[in-house]
Amino acid sequence: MTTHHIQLAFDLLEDLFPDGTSKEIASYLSRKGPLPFALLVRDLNIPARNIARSLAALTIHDIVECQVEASTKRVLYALNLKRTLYILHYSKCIHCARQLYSFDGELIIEELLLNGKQRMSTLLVKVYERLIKAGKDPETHNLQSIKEKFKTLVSAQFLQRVVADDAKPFMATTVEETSASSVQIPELTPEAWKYLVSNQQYESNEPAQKKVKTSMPIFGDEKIFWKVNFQRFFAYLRDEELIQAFTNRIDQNAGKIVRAILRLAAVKLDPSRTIPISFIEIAKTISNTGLQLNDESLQKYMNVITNDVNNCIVKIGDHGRGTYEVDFQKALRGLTKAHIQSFLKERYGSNALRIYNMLEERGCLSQKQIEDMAMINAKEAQQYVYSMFIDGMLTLEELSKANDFNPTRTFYFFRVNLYNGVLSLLDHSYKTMSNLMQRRHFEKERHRKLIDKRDKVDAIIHSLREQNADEEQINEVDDILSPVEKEQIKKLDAAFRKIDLAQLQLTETILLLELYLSLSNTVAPVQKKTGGKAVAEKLLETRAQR
Amino acid sequence: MASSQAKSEPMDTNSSAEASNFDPVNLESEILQLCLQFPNGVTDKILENSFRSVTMQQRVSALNRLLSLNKIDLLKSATESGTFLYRIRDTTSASGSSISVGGTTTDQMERVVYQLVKESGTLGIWMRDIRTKTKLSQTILNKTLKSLESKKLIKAVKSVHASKKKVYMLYEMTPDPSITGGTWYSDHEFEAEFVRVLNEQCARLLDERLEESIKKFPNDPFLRRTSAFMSSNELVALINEMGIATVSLTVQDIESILNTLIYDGKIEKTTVASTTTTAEGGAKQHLYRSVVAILESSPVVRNPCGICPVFKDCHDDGLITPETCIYLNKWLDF
Repeated sequence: MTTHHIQLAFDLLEDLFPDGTSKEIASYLSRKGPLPFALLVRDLNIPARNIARSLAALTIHDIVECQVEASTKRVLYALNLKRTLYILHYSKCIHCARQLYSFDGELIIEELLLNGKQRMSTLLVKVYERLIKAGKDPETHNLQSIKEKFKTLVSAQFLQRVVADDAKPFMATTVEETSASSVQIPELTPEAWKYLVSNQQYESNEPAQKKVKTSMPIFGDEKIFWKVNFQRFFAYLRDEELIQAFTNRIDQNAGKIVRAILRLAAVKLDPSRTIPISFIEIAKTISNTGLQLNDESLQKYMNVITNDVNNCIVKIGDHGRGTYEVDFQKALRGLTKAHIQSFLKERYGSNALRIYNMLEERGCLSQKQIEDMAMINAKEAQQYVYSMFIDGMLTLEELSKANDFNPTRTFYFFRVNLYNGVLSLLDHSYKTMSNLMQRRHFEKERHRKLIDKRDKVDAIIHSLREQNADEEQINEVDDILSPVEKEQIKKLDAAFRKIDLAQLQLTETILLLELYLSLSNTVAPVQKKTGGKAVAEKLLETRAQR
Repeated sequence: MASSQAKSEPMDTNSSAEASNFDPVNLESEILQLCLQFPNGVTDKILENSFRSVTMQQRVSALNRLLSLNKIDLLKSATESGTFLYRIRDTTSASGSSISVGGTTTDQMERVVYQLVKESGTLGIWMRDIRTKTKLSQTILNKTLKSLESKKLIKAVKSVHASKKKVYMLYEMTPDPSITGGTWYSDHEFEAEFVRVLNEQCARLLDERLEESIKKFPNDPFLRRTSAFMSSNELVALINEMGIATVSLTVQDIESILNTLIYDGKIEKTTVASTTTTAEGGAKQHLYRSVVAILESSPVVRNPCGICPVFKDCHDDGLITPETCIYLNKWLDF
């Protein structure tokens, strides 16, 4: 709920919906809280139609939520900040889908992400068209195969069903699928199917104008929409991080074993722990994946694995030759600690990291004790402690000997507060993300002419190649760009790539930190706030929380 | 003991005669002997009973002489109030004899102060503590301490933790490690370089052991783990062999260095019950192992904003913005 958090949300909205309306609406809603449509029209200088369109788009994406005001029964629109930040993770989700479900899966997820919610029928058609345009073979990638992929996505819970409830005509309720009820994939009516199939044949044979205008049949899934289940993707990404950590610490095989365990544990009763998994199941899965490990070495590996990464994989029993459980709270804690430690090491120096770890183990220490135990000279130690304190990683506790807090007669203890540290690091990451996006935007604007020129040249070359023109013509076109410009373009491309890569990696950290915060049991420590500034801050907090 | 024995030897033969003729020197030596027999003190009563033939006058004058010669102490009895005890003064300690050599002109106060300083042993005593115990005024105390120092009986030692604080201890005593700081301090200064070198050496040794274990057991993670452990005793022996330090280091010292390595995140520690009887003979042993970090580097610090010193001043519009940031320029090669 900090400034940077909100700023990042607006930047992301601007990216996704390039016309400024959505950003304006979002910023107004975040400032004033939930508002009815009429107020929005009155206060913003945008025509009502545009507002309505933007609101519709944002609502479909769940970025704006509809609430019914109890007293007046008006519909209020409220900004969902958390959902806005999920935009950060779009690319990662698409990439996951690609890895797990190949091109079809990727396209399905991409379409859904871009459109918010869709019916299965429309989705199938769109994906099919995109496949054909991308030049894929219509035999292997026909509608049936896409439907199969869709089914697998739903059964793996990557997609969620949304049902338009007649009782609440303007609110969509997401159907929470539990393991008990299997998801009902809507079966398309036979005539709808025929329509689709015939359409596809038509598409390939005849140009658009000659298409016979048949009336649109009933598809049979009019009321059933689908949307992407972000939590499931996040869980998958978190698992990937955990596997990477184990691979770093022990070796490749350990990583594979952990992957098998996490796959088996896909069904969760409780978000912080998995169901107990027995050794026998693990052994079976391992042999299925083709990893050659006999039982003995698997036992040894389990022994080593349970001792690592903050003890997140615990052995809870002996039936089935050993029962194991993954404790996600501990796992996330270990991973976030690693991020914070790396941050401290790079930003302040390895001595500061030493002090931080020491404080974590010992609880609370005074300045003098820190100097003695860390074997760093006093001046440096003081510097580190105070810069970490300013950044929010350490908290200060005053213990007074007398009744009044006379500075000469009070003990000052420093403590490590992981929750605060994570909050501060998260804020830092948000701001960094905004900075990177801003810089990218700026560079694009600055070199707009050059980029446009390059795009045009590329388009011409592409069309020439399609028409099989000779090399001379292509070279002529190529020479429109001078060598200096070519150099510049190359540098620009490298710079954009760097920024994109940095942003992508940063989303990993942001995801991890947010998951830790959502799972952690600690409440934010209450800070004594007095004075006008504090009152203002409090107001902002309560307003943002609404 | 030797000197007084030697002295009393010739007297012994005489006193055994139980001569009626009174010899004052005789009496003194007899009293001395009696005191030696009762090192905790001889009461007046016992003296009376032992020397019935001697008058009180003679006894008192003998006692006074002995007192002025500083051979015995006059103390008030704790058990029976009102009576006095005469205790043999310890003449065997060299410092004691030096005072008695110094002669009777030694100040009473100096003696008291000296006693306090001696009692504090290797830790030494702070001036303020002497003042509270003796209730002497500051000026007198200062004079006393100065004269004792000039006589080379006591010395002042500066504490390494609080540089203004001086403690007094006997001249020949070596100061306790808590005042001088121990192995890591030389000349009241913390030897950061020394600590750093030791730190690196230990890390290197443990890394080597880890590599060895990886080579030996490529397929067995459990054995790899257990063979990579080194105990603190082993490490102490190795480090002392390498001769980096001028003094030989104890297990305690090395463990404090290893603790700093743990906080650096480079090694981890486990404790096991020790099976072998080592020279230290402790019930538990500490084992250390070099580890690989979970995360090589966090993405937060892979871009310039993570380590930017002016991060807090960077805004959309203002002097420092991402658009003109020099660190970003350098990073992107512009």
